[in-house]
Amino acid sequence: MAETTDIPEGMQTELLAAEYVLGVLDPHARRGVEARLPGDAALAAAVAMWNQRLGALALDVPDATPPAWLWARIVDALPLSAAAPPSRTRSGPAPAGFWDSLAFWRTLAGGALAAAVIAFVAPWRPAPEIEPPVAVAPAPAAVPAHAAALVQDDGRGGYTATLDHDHRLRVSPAADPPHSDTQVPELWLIPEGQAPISLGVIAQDTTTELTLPSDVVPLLSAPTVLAVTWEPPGGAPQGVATGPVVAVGALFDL
Amino acid sequence: MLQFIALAAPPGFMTADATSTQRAAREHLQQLLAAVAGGDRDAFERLYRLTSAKLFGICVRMLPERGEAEDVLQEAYVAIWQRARGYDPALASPVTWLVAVVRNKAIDRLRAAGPRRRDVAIDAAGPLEDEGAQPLREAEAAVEGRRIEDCMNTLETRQRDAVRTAFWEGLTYEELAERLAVPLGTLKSWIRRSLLKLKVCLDG
Repeated sequence: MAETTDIPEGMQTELLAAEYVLGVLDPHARRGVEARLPGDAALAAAVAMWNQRLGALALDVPDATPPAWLWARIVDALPLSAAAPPSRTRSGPAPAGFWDSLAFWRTLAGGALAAAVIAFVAPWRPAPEIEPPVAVAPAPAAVPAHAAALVQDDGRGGYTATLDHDHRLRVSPAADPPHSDTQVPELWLIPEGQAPISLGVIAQDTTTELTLPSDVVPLLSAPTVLAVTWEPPGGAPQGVATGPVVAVGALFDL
Repeated sequence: MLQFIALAAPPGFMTADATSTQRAAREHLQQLLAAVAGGDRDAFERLYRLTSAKLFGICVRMLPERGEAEDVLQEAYVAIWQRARGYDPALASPVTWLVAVVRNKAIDRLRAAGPRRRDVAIDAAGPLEDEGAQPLREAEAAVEGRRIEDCMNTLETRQRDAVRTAFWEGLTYEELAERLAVPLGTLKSWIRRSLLKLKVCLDG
């Protein structure tokens, strides 16, 4: 247990939590804190706040890529023998451990570290194969039903897109299209309030034509945005965009 | 520059300020954690791919012996898989949670192994100077890191080094006093006063 000398009155709990998070307590005192946490809301709240305050220090560390085999080892180590997978509903009996305690995390008021979230966004590993749509010469247009002008961050044109009644989507680069030698443009469809859906890699210099997947078509009833991001050759791994946004624009009815 | 995460934001996000971009990033990690809590292996793999480089960086810094760092990263992700149910997206930053899980595993490992000597002196190492080495640290995201660094810089040099060494090496008061060759009472006073100053600075 921490000494109480030299500590301002009323600060013992605060300091004990800080010492715990910093990591200076000996094993006995450390276990003592963890034993108290489930039943001591004030201490748990203080620990949560100190995790938030001091955690930001950890984000200054340079990234380090773990060896590729480590993922396989982690998967092997997952406790699959459990009778049932964790429940999504959280309605089951509460786990006893401190780290499993919802109450503990409930004490976290907000996100002092939220601003640092983006520091966590790491590029994905080399992409699994994604079948690219075929780049074609501009086709004789069917009558388009929808269109979008995808503009770049600086307001310049990036791409134009038209979508006809047969759900054929044609995306054409602007006169001076965004260009990258190392990355490829990937097209995303974003129905309002939903996660982006990859429509695949598109050509940099010519029109790309593709047919919207049938399960995507119904989503167009909501306001929808098209966006292009830079992705590694082969496209965004596993359908999740990794790169910066090249251009974006809302799809509107014609 | 908008990272991919901005794509998870609703239409109109191109005009969104940094705050909403960060919120979108945070929500993306929260969604992954919620899916992991539901036993979704794919979500777990995506979470790993998005966060393992940063978390392994923390492991390597705390445990310079590579094998130990790998062991701790494994333990941390197994714990994340098991404990994701205990994380409530409405109530806590996913980053706070992930960092705390990893640091706890690392500190437990350091405690279990007892006092150790380091081949590399990292005690006084400050934050990385070379911004280029952190291409993923977005300007707006760096703000929070700057804030803790600004507050650290209000501490006197030796006390700041003591806090940093404690944070990264997981040394107990006794080990830290020995390392820094100061009396135990002096060291405790340094650390405690520093922590209280940091609280005032960060909360202010």
